[in-house]
Amino acid sequence: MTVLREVTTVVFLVSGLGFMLVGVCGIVRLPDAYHRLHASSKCSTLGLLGLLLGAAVHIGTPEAVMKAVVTLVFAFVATPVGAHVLAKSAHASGMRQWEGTLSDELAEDQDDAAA
Amino acid sequence: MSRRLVLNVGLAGIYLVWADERSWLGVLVGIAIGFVVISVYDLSTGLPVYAVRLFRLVRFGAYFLAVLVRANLQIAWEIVTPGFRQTPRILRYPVAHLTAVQKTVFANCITLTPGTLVVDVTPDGGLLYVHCMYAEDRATAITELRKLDERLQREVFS
Repeated sequence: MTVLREVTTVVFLVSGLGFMLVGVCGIVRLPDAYHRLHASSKCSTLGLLGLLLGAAVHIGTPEAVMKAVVTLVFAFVATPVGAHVLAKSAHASGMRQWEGTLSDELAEDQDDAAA
Repeated sequence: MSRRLVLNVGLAGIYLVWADERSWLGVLVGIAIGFVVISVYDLSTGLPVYAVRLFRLVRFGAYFLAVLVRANLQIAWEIVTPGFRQTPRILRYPVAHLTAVQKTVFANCITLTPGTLVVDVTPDGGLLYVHCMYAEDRATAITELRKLDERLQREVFS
């Protein structure tokens, strides 16, 4: 039982850390602000899920599990909202977009409104 | 529906404090009591069966978790393989048919599903601007968003 619990803990922690690592690499490697936000919002959410589940399994008391669940609920609400704000301000400040971007309907609509 | 889930968990919490329980069995009993109370209330007032709605919500949770993992694997693959194969666009998606809370949940779900990120919303809340990483064909990308929208309305907001 303790072996099973330790293996589960390690699997959760390693997968969580792996996703965090990939997210950080993505922030360095991807071509523009929006793609970097894709990496940071998705990977950090799932990474946190893995880390907290690992901690909850390792500690194992109802209190620890409840705290982990509450933290997860807040993280799932807050992380995307943070990404939205960053993306919005990136667009508002006219951040360079990757040259492969096919169309930008937000900029089109803003041009229409200004015209 | 989400209100009922909060009520269910809240009733379990009240039971735990009241009965001075600190065990896993206590948590299960508390959730079961909350489930029975809400089920009886919904039956007697003629609302849809609580068990069915709870099942739909749990199914959406499982689906959402699978989608989140898929999103991560996709972006991880994009990061570790050389070169860029994205075909990004910023699309507009109409959300005038949703309430404020539904829009927020929908926007968060979009950001956590594969290849999509909400960039902006119009001041009147009628349009979302979504950055799609793989949107070679505009209509296909919009259809994907609509599927998520419909699924959310059917399984969470019903």
